[in-house]
Amino acid sequence: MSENISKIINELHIYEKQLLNAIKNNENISPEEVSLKNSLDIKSVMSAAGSLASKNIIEVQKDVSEIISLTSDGENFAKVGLPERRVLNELIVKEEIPMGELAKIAKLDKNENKIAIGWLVRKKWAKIDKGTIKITEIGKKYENDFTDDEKLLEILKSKSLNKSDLSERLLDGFKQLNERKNILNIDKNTKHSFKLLDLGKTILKKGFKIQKQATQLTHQQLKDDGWKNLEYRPYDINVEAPEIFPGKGHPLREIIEEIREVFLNLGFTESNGTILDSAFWNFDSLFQPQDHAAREMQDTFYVKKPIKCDLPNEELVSRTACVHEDGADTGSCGWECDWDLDVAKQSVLRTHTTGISTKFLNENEPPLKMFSVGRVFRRETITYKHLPEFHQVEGIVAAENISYQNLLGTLKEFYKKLGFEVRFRPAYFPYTYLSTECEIYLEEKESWIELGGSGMFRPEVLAPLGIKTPVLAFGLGIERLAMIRYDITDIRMLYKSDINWLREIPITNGIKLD
Amino acid sequence: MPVITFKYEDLEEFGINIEKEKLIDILPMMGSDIEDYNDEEIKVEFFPNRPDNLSIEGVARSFKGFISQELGIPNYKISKSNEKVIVDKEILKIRPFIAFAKIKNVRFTENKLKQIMDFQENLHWVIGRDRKKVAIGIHNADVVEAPYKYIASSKNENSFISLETDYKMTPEEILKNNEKGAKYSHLLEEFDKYPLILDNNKEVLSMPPIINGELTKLTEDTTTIIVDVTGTDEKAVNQTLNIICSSFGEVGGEIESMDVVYPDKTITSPEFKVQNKIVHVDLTNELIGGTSLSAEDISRLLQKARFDSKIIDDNNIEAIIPPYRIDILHEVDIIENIAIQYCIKKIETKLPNISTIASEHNWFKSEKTIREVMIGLGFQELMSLMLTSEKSHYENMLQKEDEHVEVSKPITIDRTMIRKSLINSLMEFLEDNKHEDFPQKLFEIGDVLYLDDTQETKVKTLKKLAGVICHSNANFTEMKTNVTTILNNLGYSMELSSSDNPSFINGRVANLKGKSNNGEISGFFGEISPEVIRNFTLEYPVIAFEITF
Repeated sequence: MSENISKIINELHIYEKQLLNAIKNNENISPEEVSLKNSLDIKSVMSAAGSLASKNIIEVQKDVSEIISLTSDGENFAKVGLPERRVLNELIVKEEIPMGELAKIAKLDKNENKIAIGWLVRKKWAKIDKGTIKITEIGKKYENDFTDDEKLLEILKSKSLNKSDLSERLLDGFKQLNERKNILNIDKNTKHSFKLLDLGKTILKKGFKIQKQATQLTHQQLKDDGWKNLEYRPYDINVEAPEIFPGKGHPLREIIEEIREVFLNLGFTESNGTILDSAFWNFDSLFQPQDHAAREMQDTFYVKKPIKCDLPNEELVSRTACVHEDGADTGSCGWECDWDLDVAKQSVLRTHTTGISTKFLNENEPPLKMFSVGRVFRRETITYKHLPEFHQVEGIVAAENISYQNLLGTLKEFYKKLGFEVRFRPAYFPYTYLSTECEIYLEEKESWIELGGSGMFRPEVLAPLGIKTPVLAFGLGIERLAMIRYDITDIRMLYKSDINWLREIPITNGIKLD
Repeated sequence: MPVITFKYEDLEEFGINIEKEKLIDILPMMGSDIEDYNDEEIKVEFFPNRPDNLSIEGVARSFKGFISQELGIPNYKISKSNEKVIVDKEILKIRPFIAFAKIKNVRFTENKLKQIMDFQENLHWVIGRDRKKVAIGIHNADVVEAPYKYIASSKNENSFISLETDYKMTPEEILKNNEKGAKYSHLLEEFDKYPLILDNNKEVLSMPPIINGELTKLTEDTTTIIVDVTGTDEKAVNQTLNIICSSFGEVGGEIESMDVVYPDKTITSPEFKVQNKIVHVDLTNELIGGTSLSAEDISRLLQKARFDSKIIDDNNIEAIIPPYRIDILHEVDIIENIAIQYCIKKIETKLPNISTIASEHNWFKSEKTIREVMIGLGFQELMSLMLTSEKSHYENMLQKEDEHVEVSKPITIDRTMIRKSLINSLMEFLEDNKHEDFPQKLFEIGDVLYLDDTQETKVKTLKKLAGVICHSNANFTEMKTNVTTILNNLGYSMELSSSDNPSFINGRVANLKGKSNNGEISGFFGEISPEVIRNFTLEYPVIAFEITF
């Protein structure tokens, strides 16, 4: 408890301390007096009071008073008398006055005329009889006596009064005067007073020093050693601080960088390709038959401009053509249909990065390990599940004695490094044998999700490229990994992102920091 | 992708009694992807290389092999009938190949009829390329009479009642007025005669590849059927018939072949031929890796794959491939089947035992460096689609349209071209986030495409870096500060020149050149014009830069 009190005292602003001391000396002190004595402006006193009140150290009490004074009309009536008085004065002389002449005789304006008649009747000073106003006995009595409203009016001539100070009779007079329009001003005046609560008493009992406190540590204070004589006010650490927005990498890019690092660590050489390529490299070099469903306009983006690509050297093209038509000398029977050069020349937005692998094999000799990360395109409408473009990581390993076992080993290691445990199941791709899909089990979906395809490049793919060793190959999706990692269900988040998501997502990626 | 749906109890007819959970474990391992399942039925995708698995009969056949309940090629009843199909000379120019078979002792239930329809549709898609290459008709044989004729009919003759209609139409009317006819009319539009299959009494069995006749429609009472397969690819036509016959064979159907009489030759249909290929024991073990399968092991695994096998010697095995398998092009395909039957779960995984030295591609290495500078300056990285539209890329940016990569069949009007600049995507992002907190500082680094005749692909890829800053006091000086820092930190000295780039406020935009020992870069920066800002419905000043590497 006492530790608590010390902490509270420590965090008191100097104004709060000054206010507390003032209250200690004079329980009835007003904010104005505190302001005067401590040379603080009234706003600072009130804000210190508010702050102390919020901490239950004092209570701030409000006393609302109504100050009554005369308007300019009121002052005039005080000087010349209320309209009914002026009429009474005349009646005392004349006993009766015809209604029609009243205004003229008593010097009333039209408005006063009405008021005068009303109040004469109400005060029973006169009565109206056949168009004539006649004084009553009561009226006569009031020649030298005054009603409550007149008395109040007289007093207000010289000073304002607090409504709560009025006697009961004057209060009646106030009510009457206030019924008339525009005679009285009533100013509501709020007075604050302070009351020490228990906590405040404890604090005062414990006591505190008042020393001038500095807020910002300044260059000047450091230079002239002023800091040595200053106390720096402790801040309320819970005060809200403004937000700032960091510069950050995109989550998808972060995962791509992580993937690159894994393959570089595994000794792979990085390669690159263009997103626009010939159907030759995208399909034909991968032994995809020219009438394959995946080549149809429905699934593949063909390009209007440039509509055609050049083909690589003729020898490669003709070897590829032969393999398609009859398998050439690969031991395969091929697709047993004609191969059309013009179909191979069509420009496409690559549907996979696998063309990079065949190009790399065309230009390099095993043993080799190659990977490449790039965008691929499919004719998909943009939905929460699909985008027309996404990323793949492509990889090959070519060497004597490379086997399917090594493909599985490589993929297992890759996914392990990214924190995923995968299973393998048979699949089909036109350019591989021992085709295999990598899958991950998602608890929340209660099903296996495909992550990427792999297999051993077929002899029909390798023979035209002049490759004599087995080649293991894989092409793995990246967006899905990102969606699982960042726990998002809408793939569009990755490309048409919400800036708040980007600003708030931690960059640790589940890495334990130590 | 072809998907087949069946009930668990459908498997019982084939003597398969298995719990649902086990089935769900096993099916993927024999080469399929389970799409969905519930307590009664299961939806399974088989891959396009295995159309023989697109019927419940085919699945049962493969499954029984996989669990060693039955081995080798099934022994289907097949005999020769004396019936014939006569092929008209004129049809050879239109849809030149036909295969025909009669199958007796078949039974249909309502469920079976539905399954056979789905099977046909899947085959039409997978082998038939949506009926272009291959189309199938299955008929009640009891209402027609041999010999059959495959003819090119003139458009207005041989009217008949097609499936699900009540009155006769000519072939031409069918193409115009029938729903199926209209859907597939493009397959015949270039011809002035249309294919028809007639019986001896000129009754129409079907009008391939469009529709069958109502006369030969299958019902639950049908016991003998005729299968016709027509198409443009002889091999595919024969394979399709083999697959269908084997499916009926699996449930006791008695297949009867007939002669197809072409003007210049006569062949027996279905051809139903097996294929022989040698598979080597050493190659099998080498390619799979980690196995030491003997000739006997491999022989048995082949039989599980429903091949027959003959051990020739320690290293050579003859695999006999059944007529319904169309996926075996090469010995490696047989090895794949061996691995699947062995079960790939059992294969020990192992990293490749070759040492290579990694090397990072400079294209990506430099991106990493550039990102580091941008992030240090407090820019948030974005990734946007490379597909954009002329409207966003040129019109909204007040740029004149120039040559660019155009997609030939865009999916939507806002994805018609490949970007040459990154700024419009950054502007779109600002637009999407215009109600979020400012300042917003964004950058993207990415590839753009330019047309280039000197390249094999007729395009060249350039790397661009672009950034935008949006807040109420954004101005030229702020962007100049940023751009100067970026160039300095990337090792370039900067030279400025005046620019009249229309995307920016006149007089508040500069062209830049960065020079270093490693070469030159160029770009521009400035205050985006209010018109452009409004085109993206933004309400605060935007400053931007773009650099081409």
